[in-house]
Amino acid sequence: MERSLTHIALFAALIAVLGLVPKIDLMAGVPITAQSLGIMLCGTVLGAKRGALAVLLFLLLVAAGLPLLSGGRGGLGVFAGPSVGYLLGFPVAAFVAGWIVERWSAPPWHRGLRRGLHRRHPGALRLRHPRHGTDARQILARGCAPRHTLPRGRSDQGRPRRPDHPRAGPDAPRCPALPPLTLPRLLCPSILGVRGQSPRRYHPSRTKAVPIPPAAAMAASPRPPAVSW
Amino acid sequence: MLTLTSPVETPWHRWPAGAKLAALCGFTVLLFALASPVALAACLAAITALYLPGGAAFLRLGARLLWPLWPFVAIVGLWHLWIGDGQGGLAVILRLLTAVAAANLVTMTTRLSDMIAVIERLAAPLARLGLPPRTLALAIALMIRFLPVLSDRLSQISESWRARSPRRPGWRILTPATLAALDDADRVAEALRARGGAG
Repeated sequence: MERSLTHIALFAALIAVLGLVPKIDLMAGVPITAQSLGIMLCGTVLGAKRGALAVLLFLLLVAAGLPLLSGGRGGLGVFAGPSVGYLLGFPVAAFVAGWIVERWSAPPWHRGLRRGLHRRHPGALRLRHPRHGTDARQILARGCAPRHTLPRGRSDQGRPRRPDHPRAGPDAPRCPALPPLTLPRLLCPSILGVRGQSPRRYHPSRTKAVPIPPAAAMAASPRPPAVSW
Repeated sequence: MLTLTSPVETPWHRWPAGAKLAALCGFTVLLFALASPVALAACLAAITALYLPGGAAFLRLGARLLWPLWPFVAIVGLWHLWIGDGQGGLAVILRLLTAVAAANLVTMTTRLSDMIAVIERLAAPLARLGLPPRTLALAIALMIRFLPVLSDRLSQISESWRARSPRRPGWRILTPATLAALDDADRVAEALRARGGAG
């Protein structure tokens, strides 16, 4: 409840703040106000319903007389003017964007992205599963999803995923309920260029645990006797 | 906090906000019922007369709020001249200007706190749908409080971008700004819960 409330309020504020940024040049000088970007962001990050509610809260305060629309416009006048259609479309746009992300989190054209993301941040695509709940920020901080949040059982490649891990049991530590994790949050680590070290590198089926001794120790130790068959 | 409310005191400032909103509603409906340019011009003159008690500064502020409409006025005017319907075009332009001017007048003469009080009163029936007025008030207060915070955050992020890159920040600061907002929202949610929750 509180979390939904603060998410809605802060994203409404984010839309407003993005309108105060003069303008953002996207793709070789096409001016796109960051505000419409913020609307879509609301839908995709917060989900359809809460995203639309955030946009509605933003429009409510615009109507109440805060000059928050891009260009410093606001007040009841913009709701009587000719560009009111955009304002009416904003919550719908946020809802539809959120609905699409919620529903088609993995459209066919998205598979390559998913595979790359899975390779870099295993488990990141399953964050919405209540058992595997974790946070995009945890991935950011660690470079990978926490081990206990990784999916158990069989992985995508059909290899077992360490069912014997001490923290993988039914009493594995769990994160509290989290906001829905959606595309932008998933993309954050890769956009910021945080390179995670995939835990799968340490997967027992991949790496036979052969520690490489330091070079000095190698030189000191006698050569192992040759095995004769 | 910067609002569109005019600092110049007019007699309309003392009217209750609800009455002004109801009058605006009725007036706009009336505008769309009228079709003759003469009647609409009379309405525009009446609205301009309502602006007069505020003095020159008030009128200038009102004119500045109307200024963004000029491209629409130009397009509508040229289109109606093109199809040879000057009367209709004049009516549309006058209706547009009058409606926006009247709405701006209400905004300029109503304090934000009064407007929010009206919103809360109007939203009271939503309690049946699961939105208690207290929650709405809290959301509004949180949003207003976090406008300067997020604005500072955004300028910090773009400054740190400029410190590291000769290019302009562009849309790339959107991601850290979003993460910062999510982070702040989570912290505020925890603080709210620690203080007894939002419900």
